[in-house]
Amino acid sequence: MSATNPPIVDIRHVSKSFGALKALNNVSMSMNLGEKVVIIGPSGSGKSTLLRSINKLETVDSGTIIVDGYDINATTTDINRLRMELGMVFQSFNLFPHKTVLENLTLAPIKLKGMNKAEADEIGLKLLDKVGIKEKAHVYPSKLSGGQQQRVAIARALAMSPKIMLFDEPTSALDPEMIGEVLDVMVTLAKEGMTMAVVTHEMGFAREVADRVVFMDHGAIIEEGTPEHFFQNPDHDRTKLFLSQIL
Amino acid sequence: MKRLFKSLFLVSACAILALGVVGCGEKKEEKKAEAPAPAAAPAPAGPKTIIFASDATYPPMQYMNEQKEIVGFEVDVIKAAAEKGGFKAEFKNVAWDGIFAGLASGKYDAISSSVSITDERKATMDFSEPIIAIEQMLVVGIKDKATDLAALKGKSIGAQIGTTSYFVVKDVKGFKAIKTYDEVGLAMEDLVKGSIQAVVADSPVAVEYTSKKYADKIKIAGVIKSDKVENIGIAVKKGNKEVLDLVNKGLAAIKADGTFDKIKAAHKMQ
Amino acid sequence: MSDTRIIDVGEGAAIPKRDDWGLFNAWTISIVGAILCICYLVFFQPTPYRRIIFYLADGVIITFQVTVISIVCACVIGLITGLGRVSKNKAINLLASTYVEIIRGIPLLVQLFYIYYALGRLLNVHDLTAAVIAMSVCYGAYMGEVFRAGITAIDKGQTEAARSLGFNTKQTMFLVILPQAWRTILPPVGNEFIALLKDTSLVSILAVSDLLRRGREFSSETFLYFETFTMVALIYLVITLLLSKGVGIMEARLSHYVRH
Repeated sequence: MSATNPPIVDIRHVSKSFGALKALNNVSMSMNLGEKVVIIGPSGSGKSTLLRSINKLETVDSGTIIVDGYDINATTTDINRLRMELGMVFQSFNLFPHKTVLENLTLAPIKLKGMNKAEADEIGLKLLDKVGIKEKAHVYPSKLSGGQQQRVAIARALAMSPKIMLFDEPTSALDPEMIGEVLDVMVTLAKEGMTMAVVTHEMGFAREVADRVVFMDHGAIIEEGTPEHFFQNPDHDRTKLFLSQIL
Repeated sequence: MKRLFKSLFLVSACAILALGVVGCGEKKEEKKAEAPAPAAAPAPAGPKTIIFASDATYPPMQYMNEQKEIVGFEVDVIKAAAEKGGFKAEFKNVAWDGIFAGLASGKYDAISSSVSITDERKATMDFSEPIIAIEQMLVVGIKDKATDLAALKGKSIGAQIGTTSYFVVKDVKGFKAIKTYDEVGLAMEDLVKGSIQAVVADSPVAVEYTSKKYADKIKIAGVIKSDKVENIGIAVKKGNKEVLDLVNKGLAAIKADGTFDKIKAAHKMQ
Repeated sequence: MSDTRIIDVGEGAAIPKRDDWGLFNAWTISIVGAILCICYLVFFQPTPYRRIIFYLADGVIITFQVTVISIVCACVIGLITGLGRVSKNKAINLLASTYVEIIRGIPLLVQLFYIYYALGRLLNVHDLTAAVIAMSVCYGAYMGEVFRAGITAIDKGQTEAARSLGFNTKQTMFLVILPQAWRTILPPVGNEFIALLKDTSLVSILAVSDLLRRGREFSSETFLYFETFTMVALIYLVITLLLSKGVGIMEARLSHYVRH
C-alpha cells in the first residue's frame, strides 16, 4: 500500500443487506491511483454490490466509502459531480437506444461539462477509433452486435475522462466470440495506466492485467493478493475450491 | 369451471333476449294498441291506457316530487280528463330533447309536457284542443334593468333546447351567445351563477322560478310580445284519432263542469 | 435487448400501424367512404343536408377547440402525474396517486356537472373553460397512468447508465427516460386522444355549442333526426380517423431507432 498518497478509493467496514440477504458484511478495501483491481467470486458473493456501491448505485447501510477524498454518503458531497470521475460499464451495456453511437458518447460531455458539440464530436470520434468502431458513429445501438455495443459503452464512459473505470461483469452477456474484442480494449486501457476495478469471471484477464485480485464470498473478502500468489498459491480453502471449479 | 360457463351462458342468453325485446319493442307496442280493439268491440274490457311522455323538469307544469311521482298542473289536468274521458293515464318521464322522436316511433301514445301548438309541429303531429295559453317571458338577474330583448344585445342568453322559448330568440341577431340547455332549470342555474344574463321561458315556469326557488336572485324582466296566441296542448302521433278523441273528450268535460278551473286555481295559474 | 413493450389500452379507435395493411385498408375505406358520403349528401341532396352542415359548422370548430386544448392540458397534467407516480418522494407520490384514484372513480359526465354546476357557484367559470378543465383533469389522470407505465417500462439499466455518467434525476428523466418512453407511451396516449375527442360530445350537457349540441338543436327544431345525426356521426368519424392517422404517423416517426 502506498504510504505517500491517500488511496483514491477507500472502503471501510461497509455492510449492506437486501432484506434478509447480507450482500456485504463488514467489507474494507482500498485502491490507489493507477491500480487495477479484479474482483472475483461466485455469483451472489456481493462483488457487484461492492463495485456498484463505489459510485453509489447501491447505498450501503453502514460504513464509509471515500472516493477521491470525498465521503460519497456525506450530505455535502455532490454525488453527481463525483460520478463524472467514475466511469461505469455494465453487463448489459445500457446504451441509450434513442441516440446514435456518437450521441451516446457526446451527450454527457455536452450536457454536464458544457462542451460544445464540435469538440465533443471530435473527442467522441477519437474514442470510437480507439475502441475500433469509428465507422458505426452514426448508427443506432440496436444495429450493433453485443461486443460492439460494449465497446461503445466503454468509450461512452471514457468520454467523461474519468479517473477510475468500474467494470461490472462486462463480458458476461456476450457471445464467446465477442469477449476477446472487449477484453482487448480493456487491456489497452489498463496499459495506458487507467485505474480500474473489474468484476469478472475472465481469469485470463485477471492474470494478465490485475495488480491485485480480490476474492469475495458470502458478502466478505476472503483473500486478496497479486495474481501470481492468488492463482498459484492461495491461502484459503474456499479460494482453492472456487479456483478448482472455475479453471 | 363448469358453473362459470353455465352462468356465462345464462348471462349471454339474457342479453340476447333483452336485445330481441328492445328490437321488437316497437312492433309489439303497436300490436298491443291494435289487438284489444277488435276484441273490445263486443265487450269493452276496461278503460284504455294512454301513456303520456312528460319531461318532468318543468315546474310547475310537470315535475318530479320527492316521492318520485310526476306531478304538476298539466298532470292534474290530464288525470282529471282521464276520469271524465274514460281512459287511464300513465306518465313516463322522458327527456325533452328527443321526446318528439319517441312519439313518432311509437314509444308512447301522447306527450303531455307543456307542448306549444305551432304550425311546424302540426306538420308532424296532431294536437288536442288547447289546454292553456302561455307567453314567453324574459328572466334576468335581480339587479338587471333590461326589460326587453333589445336591451340585452351583446349579452349571453339561454333557453331550453327545442322549445318555443328558444325559437323566439334563435334568429335574433346581436347576442354574444344563445345557449341551449337540456333542462330549463339548468338555464336558470347558469343565470343565477352569472354565466348568462337572461333566460327565455314559458310564463308559468318563469313565474315559478322567479317567485319561489330564486326569488331573491332573478326576476321577470318582461313579456316577449307576439302577435300570435301561444297555446299548449297534448301531442299525439299524426293520425292517432283514437287517443286524440279520448283526450279531447276528457278535456272538454272538465272544462264544462268547472274541474279545470278548480285545478287552475289550485295551481295559481293565470 | 427488446425495446418493444406494448401497453395495452382497450379504449378508442385503433391506430393504424405503418405496416399493417389490413388496418390501413380499413382506415382508408372508412375515411374515403365517410368523405364521399358527406360530399354526396351535401352536393346532391342540398335540402336538408347543406342546411345541416352549415348549421353544424361552428359546432365542429368548438369540438375541435375543446379537443385540442384538452389534449395539450391533459398531456401536461398526465406527464406531471406520471412523474409524481414514479417519484420517490412519498408526499408527491401519494398526492399523484390520490388524484388518479379520485378522478378515475368519478364518471366524466359527473365531473362535468360538478365542475360547471356544483363548483360554479364558487368559481364562476365560462362553459368552454369548465369543459376544458373537466376533460383535462379527467384525461390527465388516465394519461398519468399511461405515462407511469411508459416510464416504468424503460429498463432500469438506462437510469443507472445515465446516473453513473453524472446526470441528476431530472436530467436522467428528460434526456434519457422520457425520450425513450415516448415510443411506448404514444400508442396508448394516441388512443386516449381519440377517446377524448369522442368524449368531448359529453360537454354538450354544459350547453356548450359543440358538434353534438348543434345537431340536437337543429334536429329538435326541424325533427330531421335521421338526417342531422347521420351528418353528426359522419363528421365525428372523419375527425377521429384523421386524428388516429396523425397519431399513427407520429408513432412511425418516433420508432426510427428500433431494429427492423
